[in-house]
Amino acid sequence: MKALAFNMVLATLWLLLSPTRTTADFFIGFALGFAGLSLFSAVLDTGDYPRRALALGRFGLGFLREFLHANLTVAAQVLFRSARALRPDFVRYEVADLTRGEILVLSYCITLTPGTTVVHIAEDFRALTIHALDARDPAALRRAIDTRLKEPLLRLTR
Amino acid sequence: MIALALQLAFLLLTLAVLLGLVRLVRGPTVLDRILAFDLIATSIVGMIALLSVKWRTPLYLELVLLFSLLGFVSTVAFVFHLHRTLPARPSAREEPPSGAAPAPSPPP
Amino acid sequence: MTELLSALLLLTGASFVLLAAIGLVRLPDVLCRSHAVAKAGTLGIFAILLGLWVELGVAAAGLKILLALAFQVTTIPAAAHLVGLLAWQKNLPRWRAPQAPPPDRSARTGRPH
Repeated sequence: MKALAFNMVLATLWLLLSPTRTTADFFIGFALGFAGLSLFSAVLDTGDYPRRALALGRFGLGFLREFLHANLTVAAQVLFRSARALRPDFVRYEVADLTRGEILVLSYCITLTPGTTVVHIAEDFRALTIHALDARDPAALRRAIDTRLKEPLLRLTR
Repeated sequence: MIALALQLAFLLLTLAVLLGLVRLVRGPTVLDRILAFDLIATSIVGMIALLSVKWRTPLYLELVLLFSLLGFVSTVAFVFHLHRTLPARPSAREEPPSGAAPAPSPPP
Repeated sequence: MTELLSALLLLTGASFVLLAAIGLVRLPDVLCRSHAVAKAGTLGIFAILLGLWVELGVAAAGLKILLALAFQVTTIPAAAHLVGLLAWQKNLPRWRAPQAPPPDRSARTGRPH
């Protein structure tokens, strides 16, 4: 967090020193500041800021891919397949080892990824109830959520 | 080019609103109607954005914000109201599978 | 170039909103319908507002459109989740798939579903 603020300050400084002041200048300054911070991370005590930023990028890209895939799946289901191909049911997904913020982000992502929607979060924040369009194989569904969403998210937050 | 695309997009969104109205009329439960209402609000926000492109003005952005807020807040209000008033169906979670019959009769 | 990109984004967005509406009509019960609305509706409005942003230019529209975008993208899945939550809590009638899938279908496609 402190490193992010430092990066912002560097970007603003770049903005003040540059001859033109546009939004693009701010982002150039931000990128330069990021490069500097990751080069001198050992000296500047910024901890794992570069690693986290990379994890954020990877998580964002992976999520975007899943989101587009989800929309193509919905399109195929809605336009070409009849409802008889569906096997909708509820699936339980354990989230006992996550913090509340992680559960929030994870359930948002689950809602926007193929074939799954979060319908309920247990009051003690230990499990999610997921509604899946195709619940023939709940174990495979849980594994898919683990590898595609949960692990990149944990790499970002921990 | 963009005028053609705009007209086509308007047509698509109008169709979306009409289909949403179909679900709004037919929907067996209240929740179907809420979903349909939410989708209609979304399409109207899309239409306002299209108008904003058509007339090349950023002035309608406030309208976009206002309508999206309105749609979301009314959905939340409906859901919280129904959370208190809608009677829960008493049968257990494990009801026997009902064969090939789609969509049982709606609750009163 | 900008115009082409913007037109493409607007058309994509509108067709995904239409897709959400078709899903709303075609899918069999509330929970399945909320899938279509959450995913296709979010992508549709995201693409439309992105197209608006491209068309108006960053300077004119700026942060206000980002605010609208972020708001829409967070609230549509939340609304769909609330509807699903209520359907789950009140134990509304759910559509059940017919027990035995028709054998000719699976034989023709060669896949279990």
